[in-house]
Amino acid sequence: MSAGTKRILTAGILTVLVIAWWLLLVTAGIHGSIRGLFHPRVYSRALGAAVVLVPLASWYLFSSLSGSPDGAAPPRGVTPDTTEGGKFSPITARKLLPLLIPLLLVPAAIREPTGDRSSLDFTPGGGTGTTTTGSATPPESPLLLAVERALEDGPALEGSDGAPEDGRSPDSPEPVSPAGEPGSASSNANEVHIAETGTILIEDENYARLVDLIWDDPRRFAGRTVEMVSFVFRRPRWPETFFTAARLSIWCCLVDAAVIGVLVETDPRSAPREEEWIRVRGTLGVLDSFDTGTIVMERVPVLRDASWEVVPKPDFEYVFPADW
Amino acid sequence: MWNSVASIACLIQSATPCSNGVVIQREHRHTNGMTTIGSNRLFTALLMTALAGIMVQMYRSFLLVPQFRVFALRVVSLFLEALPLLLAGAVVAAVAREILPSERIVAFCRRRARLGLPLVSLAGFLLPVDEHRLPDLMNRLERQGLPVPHIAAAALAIPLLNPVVIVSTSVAFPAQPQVLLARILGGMAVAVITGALLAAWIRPDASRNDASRNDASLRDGSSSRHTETTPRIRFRIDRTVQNTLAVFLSLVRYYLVAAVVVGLIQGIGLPASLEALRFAIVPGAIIAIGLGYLFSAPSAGDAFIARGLMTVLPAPALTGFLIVGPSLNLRTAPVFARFLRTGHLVLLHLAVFALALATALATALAAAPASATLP
Repeated sequence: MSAGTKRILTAGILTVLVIAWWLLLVTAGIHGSIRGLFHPRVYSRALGAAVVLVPLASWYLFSSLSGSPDGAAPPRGVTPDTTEGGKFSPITARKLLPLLIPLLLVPAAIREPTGDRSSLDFTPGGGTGTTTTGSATPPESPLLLAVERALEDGPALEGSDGAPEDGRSPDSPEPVSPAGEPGSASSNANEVHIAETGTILIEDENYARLVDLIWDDPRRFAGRTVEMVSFVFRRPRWPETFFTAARLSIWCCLVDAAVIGVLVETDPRSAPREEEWIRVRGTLGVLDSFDTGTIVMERVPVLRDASWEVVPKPDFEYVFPADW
Repeated sequence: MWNSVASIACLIQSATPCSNGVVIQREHRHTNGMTTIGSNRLFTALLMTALAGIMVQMYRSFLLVPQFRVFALRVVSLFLEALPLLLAGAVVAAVAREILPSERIVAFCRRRARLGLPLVSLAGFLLPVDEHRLPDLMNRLERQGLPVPHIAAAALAIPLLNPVVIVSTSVAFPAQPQVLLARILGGMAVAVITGALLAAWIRPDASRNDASRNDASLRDGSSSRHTETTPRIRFRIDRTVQNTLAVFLSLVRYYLVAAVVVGLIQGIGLPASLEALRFAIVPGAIIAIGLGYLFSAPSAGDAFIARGLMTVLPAPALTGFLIVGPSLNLRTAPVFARFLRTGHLVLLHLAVFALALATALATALAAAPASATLP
């Protein structure tokens, strides 16, 4: 086989591989297999890179078909690339193997995307990486402004009452944006729903950021009632009276998922089972310290006087840190 | 599996004796006046088909293994996350290679050598170079008379301090700017201090080559520039595209090796007796530095590898990985060995490791959490 034919074959295989990559990402995205595995931005960036690779590989195939040999010396007037004596960097079929490996791994990766929670540990804060627990001045954020605005306008809260049957607030709260105008925020992550009873509803869109705000300054929220849908997370070394109302926060990908949420203090005899999905409602308090078994956290938010009901697992069980 | 392959082979080549059903003798024999070359080809094709079938079946079986699925997800995640940065690194390096020929980079470093090591160590910001071009660049810098300490400083800094690395680190650690800061400052410190140590250690006359050879090299370089009168756009685009793809494939290869190892490390996890390693800065940093040296992951994507290691090592310790990985590793050590004597090479390693460790410790001190304390 001549060098030219080998080059054309290699270019053809490269083009096919790159297009296969692109098609696989698009198909998985349309099918919904990618959802929950990767943060949407990671997926869209990877898709963008695959799109850029297609014309590059196509150009290489085109130039191979038009007869540009690998070892071509530069034509008169072109500065030689002195790194390789002015020649092209050769691409051989062997060098294409790395592209094949992730291509083979994708079908395994996107099959039944479930996270293994057994090895996870509880992460303080909302998983956004901006938790400043213990600092004197927590950062102001549009969401925090929205919460405070809503709480100023609403009734002051002590205790919990009137838990909604289905959890979707029966008081039909309007979302409050940072400007304090219901429903006017451009991003759901910056909206907060406050029930007429004053209960702060922590929802999927703002879960990570609200939990972050609570961890930032638990005393600021002490005495407020919150409600959220979470799964029950507990580590073997934890005291029996505690579990975490938790969600898995995906920073980049499912494998990086972190367990975030709020501790719940409860009677162990009536505590929900681990991994069970519950809608929990309780009054926020502050725990001086809590030993997770690996670290000792100080000034930890905790839900007291909690009530819960078992709910079905949500269609999409993960939450994303919104600021990223 | 191999027995089944051999059985298929025996069926195909019934005339060929098979010992233990495994060893197959390949002979050219005459049958009815025809050679068995054709049947050998058929045999090879069928054998390959059988092997492919077995591989597909094995792959399908692997798809059902949960541990393999999680491992695959880890590797694919790491790959997809770094893919845009690896491609960007390849594009930037190929374009820079086309518009900034080695002569210009050499001239830049040579002219500015007197201004000191700090300026040379910043060359990567102005002159992004793909890591495979670095050995060639170092050889040319040496031939043209740049002092060895300056070459070492440039070689340590260029892969570490360039725009693509900064972008990839900030993307991998978006909420931890201290990691990026530690990488930049630590990288500069490593390049400058190591260069200064080498300058103090190496005699000036030992680091210079024959001046006449330098002049000849420069003349060669300048003569090539004179020929640049009517550049052929098509040729240059072809070369840039091919270089981009070649560099990209190379980066992917090294990156995938590191991603697979990290996927395995994440999957295996730490035994209970080593759980404390997640919070032990000094041992963690030493391990991170060792992994950086061994992985030789491309700098355009190694920040994602480092983040993958956060499950087993403390974050500040990983700055050691981020500094040592691109600047001094199994791939670049032989390149340094070409123009450094053994003693100097040992000094270089010790200096880089010690400074990377110091950077990791400084990062840990700066980022000491107020709310979490060790048990």
